[in-house]
Amino acid sequence: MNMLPIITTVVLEYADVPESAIQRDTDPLRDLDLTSYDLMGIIGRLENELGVTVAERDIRHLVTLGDLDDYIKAHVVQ
Amino acid sequence: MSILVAECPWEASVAEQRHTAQRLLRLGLERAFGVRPGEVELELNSWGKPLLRGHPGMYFNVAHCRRAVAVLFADCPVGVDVASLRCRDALVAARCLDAAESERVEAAADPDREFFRYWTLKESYVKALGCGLSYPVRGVRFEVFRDREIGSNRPWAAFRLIEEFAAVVIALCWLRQGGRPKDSELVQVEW
Repeated sequence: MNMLPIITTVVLEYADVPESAIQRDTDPLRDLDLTSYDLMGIIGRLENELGVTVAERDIRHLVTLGDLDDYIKAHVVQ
Repeated sequence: MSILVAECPWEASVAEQRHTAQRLLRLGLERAFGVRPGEVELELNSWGKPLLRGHPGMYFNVAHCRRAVAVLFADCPVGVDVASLRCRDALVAARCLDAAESERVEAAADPDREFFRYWTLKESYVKALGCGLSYPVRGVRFEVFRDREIGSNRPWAAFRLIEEFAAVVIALCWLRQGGRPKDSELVQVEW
């Protein structure tokens, strides 16, 4: 299942950008000017909505929204 | 050693905040270390933290948010974080606070301000380490006492909160074994 539409919906609540600015290769910190606080909020929302847990040690590997999509797909309880 | 702070107007863009951060960096380098910007070169560590190349005794760190820009200079590794005061995000609080910190936030007269004290303290520590988002911040525990003394489980670091500004909380961290940090001069710079 492609999680990117759900991720996009959540990210748009934090970033003041058009939906077209959100792509798989978007780096939310560099490209959307989001902060680490925003990112923690986004991850918390996705954990709640999708029933997945994102380990703190893994966050540094989630550079792009595509990375986040792949991570959630790999860890979400089917 | 110095902390330079400029308060931002509401309409300031991120690009303007960055421009101001560069201005404060230039001002602070000369004020704290007596060096002109042309005399230093920046490099990034493996986590992307900017450092002064070839100047092992000179350290700085930059932070900005919607309402302020801050740059801290010192003779040891440092981190600074600044956060605009707003309603705290319960999901972020759940990820980053331990149980005792959560209790203190909820019991505080101003829970949002109390939360951002803890958040900025944790971020300042991670920024001083220079290791980015990978650090498990819940394990970095703080207690902010009424006299503004700050207790932590990181004895090799010293911390200070700056709350002279109504709209923001600023936290400073020095990686220095034991004791209090050297006094840092707070310099307010016009936007």
